[in-house]
Amino acid sequence: MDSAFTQLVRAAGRWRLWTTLAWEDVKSTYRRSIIGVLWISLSFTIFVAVKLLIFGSIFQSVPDEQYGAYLMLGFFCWQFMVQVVMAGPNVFSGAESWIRNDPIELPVFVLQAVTRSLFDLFFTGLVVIIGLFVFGAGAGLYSLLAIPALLLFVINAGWVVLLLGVVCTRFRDIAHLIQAAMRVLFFLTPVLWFPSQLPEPVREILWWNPFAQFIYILRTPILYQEPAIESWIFVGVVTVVGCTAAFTAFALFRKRIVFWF
Amino acid sequence: MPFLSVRNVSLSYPVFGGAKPPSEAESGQGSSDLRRHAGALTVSRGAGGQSIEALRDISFELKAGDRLGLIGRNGSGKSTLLRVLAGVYSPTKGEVRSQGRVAPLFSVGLGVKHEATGRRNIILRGLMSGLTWKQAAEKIDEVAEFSELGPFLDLPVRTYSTGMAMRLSFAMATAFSPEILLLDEWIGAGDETFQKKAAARMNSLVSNAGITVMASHRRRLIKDVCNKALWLDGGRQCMLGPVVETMRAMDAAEREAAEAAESGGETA
Repeated sequence: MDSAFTQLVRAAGRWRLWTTLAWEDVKSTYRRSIIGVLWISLSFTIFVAVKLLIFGSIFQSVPDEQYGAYLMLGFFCWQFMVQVVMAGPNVFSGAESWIRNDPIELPVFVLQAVTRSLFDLFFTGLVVIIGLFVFGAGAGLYSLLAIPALLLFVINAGWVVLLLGVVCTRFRDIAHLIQAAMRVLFFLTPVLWFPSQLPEPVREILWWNPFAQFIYILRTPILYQEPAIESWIFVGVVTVVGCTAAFTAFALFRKRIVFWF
Repeated sequence: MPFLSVRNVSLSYPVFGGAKPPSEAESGQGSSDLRRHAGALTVSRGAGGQSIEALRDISFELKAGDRLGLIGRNGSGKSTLLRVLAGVYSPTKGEVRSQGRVAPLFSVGLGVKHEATGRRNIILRGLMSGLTWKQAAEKIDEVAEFSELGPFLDLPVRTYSTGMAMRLSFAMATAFSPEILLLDEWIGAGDETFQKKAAARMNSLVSNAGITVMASHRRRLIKDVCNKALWLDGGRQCMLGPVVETMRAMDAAEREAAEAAESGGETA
């Protein structure tokens, strides 16, 4: 078997395969539905609209336009991160039928899962762009930071799926743990609320929430036209550490994964 | 020219979620020399949990035109060896070297996307073999014709009968000009007409200087197709030789074992 690095490169070279598999996933999710992938945009719009209606009236101190853009951008990031984290544990067990039959590079399925989540990112992204016009937010050069920010989202999605795939195929409890944790984490991440509403000590603890930092690198530049340098550094460190950890786990266990089903 | 070389291959793998062996659960001791027979394979229990020693020290070499039949009782390691040859399992010790496009065909339902149509599956299988979309699409007609799926080609595979799914799998595995074909037991299923077609295709593959390795309990099939046989027992290589001699040796050993068990039963 090739080295771990060679496998990654060869998997990337099979782009025809993983893009087609990802498209198959999308198709089977929206099979026989009339508006199909537009459900992604629609459900996102409904969620933001309803939350805005309820929480907008609670947070009277914030102007509606600003809260609308704030909530929309935050939830846009959150939804992508949840999808990635939920996809990770199943990335290999869902492909068991291929893996047990074909000597195929395992990262192919990671790339498939990431590509699959990009479909959703794209269709919610369309709503976000329209929404920013509606709320009159995001005009300014700092909004261009969204491009490198999204690039970091995708790179991080790669290592998260790979690492969770390896770990959760072996230890089946972790997938359930993650599912439970994500529900709680939503309330600990500033999507609906503002960090400034928190007392100082709590705010300092929640600063370490990596999900929050990922949201900041996208939301803060667009909404407030400031770079959020601290968050970029935080995300940069997470990216390097995460990629290293995922690659190490893959290199160590890639030959054993097929026995873990 | 394709070749397949297996040198001193051993494989053991962990099993999770198995129950503790009764002897250990009762006595409460977990010694590493605690071994017992489960079927024909050795299950050992050590610090790392239960593991199965599926293959021990297997060696052989196949060159173009060889058709090897794997014979042995259930659980003797035939399927595991096929997966090692395919590169799905990496051996714990030893090495497998091969040259040529490998087409594995292990069981119906593996390597197929059930939600997708037959047509889509042909494309996917082509992409798996490293073809482009266009090259894969060019194979659709050939596979469709051979598998006799007719209008089912555009229905999801989950709607297929077992026989249809099998025909599709076989047609796909052999369509992308494989040089090394690995077949597990199930190919013995299916109706007679298709059996004949499948055998004809395998013969043409072999005459194109391919290598075939197949595992089967059907002696007739092995005798018809293969020129060599490998007898496995408990993951060990008992004999490698011409088909008829190897089968005879296996029969003799089994008879002997049966007689020994019988006389052992009498004395006890």
